[in-house]
This record gives sequence, structure tokens and C-alpha cells, in this order.
Amino acid sequence: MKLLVTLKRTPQRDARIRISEEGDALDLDNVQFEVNPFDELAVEEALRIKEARGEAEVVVVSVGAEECEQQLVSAMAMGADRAVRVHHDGELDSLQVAKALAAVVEREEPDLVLSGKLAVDDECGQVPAMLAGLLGWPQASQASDIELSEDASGATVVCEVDAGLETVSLALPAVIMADLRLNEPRYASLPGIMKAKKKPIATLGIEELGDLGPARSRVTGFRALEDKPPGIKVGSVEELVQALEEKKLI
Amino acid sequence: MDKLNTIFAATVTREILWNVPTWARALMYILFLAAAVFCVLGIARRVRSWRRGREAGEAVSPGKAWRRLWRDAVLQVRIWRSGAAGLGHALVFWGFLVLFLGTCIVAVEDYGSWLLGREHLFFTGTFYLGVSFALEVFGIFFLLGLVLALSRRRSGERLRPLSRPVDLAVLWLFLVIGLSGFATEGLRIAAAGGGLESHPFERWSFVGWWLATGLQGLEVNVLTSLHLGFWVGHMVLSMVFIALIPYCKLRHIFFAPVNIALREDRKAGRYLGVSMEEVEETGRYGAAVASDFTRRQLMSFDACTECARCQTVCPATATGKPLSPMKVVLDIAGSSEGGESLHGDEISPDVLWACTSCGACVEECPVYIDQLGAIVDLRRHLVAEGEIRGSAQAALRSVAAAGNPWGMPREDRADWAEGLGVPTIDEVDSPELLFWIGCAGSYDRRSRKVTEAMVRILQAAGVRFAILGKGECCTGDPARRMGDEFTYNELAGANIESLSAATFERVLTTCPHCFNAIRNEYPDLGGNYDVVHHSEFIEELLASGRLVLEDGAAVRGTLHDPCYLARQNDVVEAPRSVLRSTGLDVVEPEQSGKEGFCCGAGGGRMWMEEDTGERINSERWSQLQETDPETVAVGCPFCMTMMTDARDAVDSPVEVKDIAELVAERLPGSPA
Repeated sequence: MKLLVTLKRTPQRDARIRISEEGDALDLDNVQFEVNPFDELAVEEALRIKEARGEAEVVVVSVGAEECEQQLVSAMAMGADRAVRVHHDGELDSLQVAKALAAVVEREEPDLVLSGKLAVDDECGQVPAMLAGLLGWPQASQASDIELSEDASGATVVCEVDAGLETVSLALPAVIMADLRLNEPRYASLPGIMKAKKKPIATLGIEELGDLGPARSRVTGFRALEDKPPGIKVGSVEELVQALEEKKLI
Repeated sequence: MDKLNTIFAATVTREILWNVPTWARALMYILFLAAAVFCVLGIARRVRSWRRGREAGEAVSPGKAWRRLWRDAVLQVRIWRSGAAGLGHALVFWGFLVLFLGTCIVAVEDYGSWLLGREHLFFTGTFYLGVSFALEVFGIFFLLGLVLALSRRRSGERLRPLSRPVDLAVLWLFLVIGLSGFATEGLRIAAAGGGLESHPFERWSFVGWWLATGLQGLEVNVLTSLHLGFWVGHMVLSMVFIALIPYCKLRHIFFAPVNIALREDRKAGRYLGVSMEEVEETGRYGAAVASDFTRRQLMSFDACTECARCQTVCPATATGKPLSPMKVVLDIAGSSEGGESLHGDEISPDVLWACTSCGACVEECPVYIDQLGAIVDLRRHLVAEGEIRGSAQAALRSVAAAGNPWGMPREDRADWAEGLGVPTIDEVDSPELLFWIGCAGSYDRRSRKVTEAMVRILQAAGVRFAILGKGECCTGDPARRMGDEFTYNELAGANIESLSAATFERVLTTCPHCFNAIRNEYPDLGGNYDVVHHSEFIEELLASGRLVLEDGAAVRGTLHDPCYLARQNDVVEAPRSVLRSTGLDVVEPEQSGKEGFCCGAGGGRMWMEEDTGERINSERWSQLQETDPETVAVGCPFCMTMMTDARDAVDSPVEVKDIAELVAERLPGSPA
């Protein structure tokens, strides 16, 4: 079987992001990047499916400029077999990315697409759902457990919903989005990275993938959160009540 | 003596193999041949299994090898440390050694005189009497040692969980061999040449003589039959012993001296490096199978005497974790002839991640096995397989991305120094000291207070110092202990570049982990620096009078020794001397100095959950409380975190303070 995982290059999770002085862009000069943590869960899940079934190909796909090949290599260092990069240097909105990915999916014809439930940079979380919609495939979101049927014709997925857990079953091919509790990703270590360097990365021009249409949304500006005032310590319940009254909270 | 010689020269000796008929002699040679073949084959199998290992390390000079043998094999210096067990082993060993030499002398005399066609060679006169006397004395040592060992097992003292029936059987075998040897001698003295009167000089064999006087009532033919019986029994059992050596823990008789003599010269805190080129070439990293270890490592695992001292001192074993360093060693040795994976139910990830890399096992091992090095090699394989997950993996990623294991921003690294008048290295021309702050000292709220205290001390003593500032990053210690050589090399390489670009005399650090890495491990990557721990440096400042402390009330306290300072780097006295000059009355806990008990945070454990057994830090805290301290002094940011957490868990009023803080409190004009 073939498993396709979409992944995005996002700033390192601990990185401190600053906004440019004009407020129209992010200052990413000294920021390191990594595979979007939720996409990494999707890669790990694909590798576990491969290991459990004994035979499967795991293909990782990303849309972006040359530097996002670092993240594709990281995914291959974890164990993915090959990578596809859709070359584009510039802004795209979610639907354009979804259309590009849909075109790759049509070429690759995987049995299952796995992706993170959202990317930690803009937290839009739209692409996987749009991708399923464009492909006309079923989707399961916020997955915390995935079980494939023996013949890989369907999957049972436990989804995290606000009230608890919802179990859905769906026919493959499908799009499944990974949530935090799906697994604990493995470490991309040195021998893995060395092997990954020998694995192939195919590059596709975005123009080869058909008309992506105009962007329907664009970023108009950034604003940092205002600093929260520091908390205060109170000595007793009476002081607490008094403090809350002073702030007109009760 | 000369007179004695002339009188007895011709007669003072004994007939070798007296009363032993041809069939018994033939039996001896046949059994010896069989036992020797068994023994040699067994040893050859082990040696062949070593040869499957990787080549590594430098050869040891012969002089050094002999000195090591003299100290630790002949004098048994390292064995002595464990009381009755040490005494027992030394008695058995010395007894065995001299009895073995005695047998060799007899053999040389016998074959030598036969070959040269002479009646005697040298086994006569005073030499005969001296040897006879020595054999009696050391024979008694041998028996005493065995009785001591057997009684320890009987009384259940330190009954080891891995002690097997064969271990006990070996002791009984030795005892019977020893006793039957004395019996044979006694019977010979009583019966040979017409009895005691014919050879009064045999009094020198005082045990045999004493036995013989008791046997005098028996008829000569009874004595000779009994003698032959005991001789055959003694001989057969000795051959059984020879045949057994390579197949049980007795193999240490051969392999322990070999390892003692030929072991690599390396501190437990300095790990064997891995060359990235080699990994690239072979695609192998860490130990997946036994042959991934070096030949020397495989040899050392066969030296194991199964004494279990390593697991007795292991903080993980002591607090109910699944790790036993001895079991890891034995499991590897057990699979070194096959090619199967070492990793599985026995050596599981839980076993390997339980290690705090404190090095207590290595320090304790009487035959110098490096259990920690083996565990790290096995961890490296886990890392190669991506089998490091959760919080430990997060720490590794952060250390690689942000230069510190907590993932704090690089640009905040020197925030602590704001307003303290601390210059960076580009602001001072050739300072005396480069103050290496470390990640905890830079970011951790509690440890920052220690850094600030150290700055006050340096400023009070007028020391010209500077910091690297934002140019400093993690030394790579946690990555290396967790088995990630790649990340270690990246970080260490970056630091060596920064340090080598700067001019200074010495590096000062308040973190023993940074201290160990820069001092012991950076030289392997080309970074050679003179590194001091703050306890040593403060001791120097006090001794030279550059730093003067105010007197104050004495406080009862204790010191928790950091493993990477005391055990790995022999810095034991400096922190104590500094603490005493602050007025701290240092009461030693039972386990201290090089035998200290780990806080639980080394080896990357700082960033892992501890969900099995007791908590190591709580165990250590209870040990320290037996000294009834008002203050627990520490000299390491990891120990600080672990001891503070352990204290808070029991809501104790005892203070936990770093050495630097206690010193800074006594600076002139400082609020006490």
C-alpha cells in the first residue's frame, strides 16, 4: 500500500517569533525551522502502519521553496521512503495549497493521506479538509487512534471531539488528520539522516499542477499580544475578595 | 642454616607421588589432558568471541600492565574496599596462588630431575622446608577465606538476587579440594618411610604433622590406602575445577587479570567517541549486537566475577528500577558468541534509560569493567532507531535547536547578567577567567542565584573575568549521555570554536557536567582548556588570601557530592574545605565523596519521567537527613533541582544551597 503524508516547514516550536517594525511581516531571521509537530505525528503514524503491515511505501510531500527540503529529509530520516516537493517561493492561501496537494495525490494515487490537524505557525487547519473535499474522499479529523482493516479497504478512527472521543469508520482512500495523542514520534537520528540523504526528492513546478486559482485570502498585518500585567499574591480570602471588588470583577 | 643444610641436604625432601601406583598416575595424566583440553577450548571460544568486536583503543605499555597486575591482582587493592567479602577473596586468592605455585615447583622438580637424570633438583633442604611451611600457611588462608565466604552466604548477608547454585557449589568444591590436600599430606607424613620419626623435619608442614600425630594409632596399610584414596579424590576434584573454569564465573581467574592489565586508560566521565565518517561508511551506530562493541569491551565483560557490587551501589537498582549494571554485562557476555540482537525483553529501553550515568558501578567494579560505557553504546543504538521519545526527545531537540535543553531563546542566555557589571569576552582583554555559565546557570531561576553569587565572589576577590554571553551554548553533555553523538559533536564543536577564538587563562564553571565535558571530553575534539570547578577556584582564592570571609555562627550541614565532580573527577576535598571556611560544620553522610549516591538527574534523567520505584532524589534526601543537617550543600545545578524537589516533597525546613551561595553570604558587607 502507499501512504502519503503532507508536511509543512514551521518555525521551531520553542522559537520566539518577532514582528517586523512595519508590522507587515514576521522577523524569521534567526529562527530555526522544523517539521510541523502535528505533521510529524502523521509521519510517525504512517511509519507504524508500514511496520505493522510489513510492506508499504511512505511518501512525504511539501509545498514550498528549496529550504523545505530540510524538513522532507527529516521525515525521511525518521523512515519515510521518498519525498515530493512542489516548488513555490511566495505566499499561497490554504485552498491553493490544497489544490496543489490534490494534484500530487492524483499523480501518486495513495491509499491513505495522513496530515497534521493544523500547522503550528498560522494554526489555520484548513488544508487537509479542503484536500479531502477536492478529492471527494472521506476524512477523519483530530485522530487519536487509527486502525486499518486487514485488507486496507477501510479504517476505524478515534477522533478527539470537544465532548470526548468519537469513533468513525471510513472507506479508503481517505484523508486522516493526526492529533497530539495519536503517538509519540521517533527521533530522527544521525544514521537515519545519513540514509535520508540518499533517498530521492522529486521536485515539481507548481505550474505543472494546473490552475490553482487566485488567492482568496491574504495576510494584512501582524500584531503581538500585549504583555499581561503580573499577578499578585494575596494573603487571605478576605484580601482576595477585596482585590476582586477593587477590580470590579465581583 | 648452612649447618642445617649440610645435615639434611640429602634427606630433607619428600618422594614426589609417593604411594601413587602407576594406574593412578596414568589416571592423573589422562584427566589432566582432558581437563586442559576442556579449559583451553572454553577459553579459546571466549577469546574468539572477543575477536568479533571492533578494533579500538591504544595498547597498554608492558610496564603499566605489570604495575596494574601487581596492585589489583596480586595485592587485591580494589577488592579490599568491601570488608569481609574483600578479606575472604584475598585469602582465597593468595592461598590459591601460593598452592598453585607449590604445585608448579613440585612439577618442575619432578620433570626436571628426570630430564637431567639427577636424584633431586632443588626441592630439598631449607628450600623444601620453606616451601612446605609456606604451603601450610597459605593453605590455611585458603580454607579460612572459603569458610568466611560460605558463612556469609549462610547468614544471608548481602544475598545477591543473581546468586546461583553453581556459585555455592564452587566454594564447596574448593573447600573439599583444600581439606583433601591437607588430609593427603597428613596421611603421607604418618605412613611414609616408617612414620613420623623417620622425618622429624616434616614438622615444618605443621598442619600435616598435626594430623599425622593424630593418625599414629592406625596401621600402616590402612594409612597408605587412605592416602591413596584422598590423593585420587584431591586430584580428580582439582581436574574438575580446571575443566570448569571457562564455563562459569570462575573464568574471571583468567580474564580479570587480563582486563586489569590491558583495560583502556579512560575516566568514566570520558566516553569513547564515534566518528561520523565511520557511521556514514558502515551505517552502524551504537551497539545492536555484541560485535558492535570493541574487542576490549567484550574482553572486559568476560572478566565479570558476578560479585554484584555494581548493582549494590547503583541508584537505579536501589530504587526499584529494572536496571542492573551486572545483568547488562552478563547479558552481553552471554550473547557474544552469537549474532542475535542485544535489545529485547532483557535489555529493554526501560532498562537502558534508567541509568543516571553516575558511574558508581564503574568506580566500584573490582575488575574495572566499564558498565556505563556499555550502557551508553546500547543507548546509542536506541537513538539510532529513533527509540527516544517524549520529554527526553524534546530535550534533545531543544538542545540542538536552541542550544539549551529547555528550549529557551538563545538571545536570552545572558539576561541574568543585566546590571551586574559582568563583561563579555569581547569587552575584556585576556581575562584571567572565562566564566562558563551553563544552561541551568543561565536560564534556571534557582541556578541563576548561584551564578549571581559566584559573580559577587569573583568581584569581591578582584578576579578579571568575562563570559561568552550569547555565544555560549550547551556543552552537549546531556546529548552525549543520552547517546546522541551527532548532537554532542555539533554542540561541542560550536563551543570549541567560540572558546578557541577567545583568549583567557582558565575556564571556571559551576556545573560539574559542563566541567566534565570541557575538561575530559573536549580534548578528544581538539579543545584543550584548563578548567576549574568553582569549589576548587574558591579554595584557591581563600588560600591565597584574595578572598576573605567574615566569621559567623557555625551551622550544622552536610554535602551532597555531585557524581561528575567527586567520582568522575576526584574533586572531593575542595568543596569540603570551602564549606568549612564558611562556618559549615560538614557532617558526612554514609555515602559520600567518590562513593556518593546520585541525585537522579544525570544521564539525561533530568528530562525524563521517573515513574518506576522510589524516586532517587527522595532516597538521597533521606540518606542526607540522617546527618541531621540545617543546610544541605550542593555543587551542581542538577543536584540543586533534585534535592530542592525532594525537600519540598516532604515539606522540610532544611536549606538547600550551593557552595557559592554559602560563600557569598560570608562576603564582607553581605547581608547574612
